[in-house]
Amino acid sequence: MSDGVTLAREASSRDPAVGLRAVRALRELADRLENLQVAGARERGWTWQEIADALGVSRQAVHKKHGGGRRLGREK
Amino acid sequence: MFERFSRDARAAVVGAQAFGRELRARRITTGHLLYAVAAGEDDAAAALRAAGATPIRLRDAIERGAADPLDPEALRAIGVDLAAVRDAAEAEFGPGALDAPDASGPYRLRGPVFADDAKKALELSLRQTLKARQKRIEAGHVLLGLIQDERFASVRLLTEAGVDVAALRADVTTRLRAAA
Repeated sequence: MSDGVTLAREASSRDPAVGLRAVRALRELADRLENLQVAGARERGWTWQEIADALGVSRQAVHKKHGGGRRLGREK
Repeated sequence: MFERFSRDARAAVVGAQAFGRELRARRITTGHLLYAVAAGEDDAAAALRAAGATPIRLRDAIERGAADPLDPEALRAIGVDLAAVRDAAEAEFGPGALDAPDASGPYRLRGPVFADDAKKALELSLRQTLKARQKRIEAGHVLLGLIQDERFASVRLLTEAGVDVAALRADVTTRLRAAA
């Protein structure tokens, strides 16, 4: 662990603003990684149910979030 | 709701989408909508310009404010090395994978979608129209929607540009009434 990270950690423990910003950035990061991984899994032929099980969410939830763009028929 | 929009109000919505796409934004925000209203040619744009909120000023402020939502500094503070995560993502999914707009979801078909507060602002514009017993949603009503909730980024942009939001609201309301 570098000194820079240690120093930054100590600083963040004193400043909730930095910690909260980090939480927000992590959510954004997790969202983007989820998009990439779900698209990758679909390309490899995973079913929505398999993806949902791996993510620990319902099939409906994962399909609602990631399935919309693939069906032209659902567009208005 | 969209069928009640006037030509100028539609131009503002379409302009906000084009502006968001140009900035490669992941969501259309109240800031993008505000810029599009200011860039119009109707009374609402005139009111904004008269208050000092020109399209160029707004555009500069929006571009400056569009900081990286992945916030590498904050992530570093909790021990996450964003560069390492980015490298891993690019090794698996190709260059720019982590930073490209979401190409797998609705983005691919429609471009960036409207953020929740931008949708809320458009709903508020409809309510403003109904309250004033007017039939069509004008760009001025969209502007009133954008300045109704002080939590909106559009209000922050105007305040930072030195605009008196209450005076702007009064001016837009007067112009709408005169035009009706």
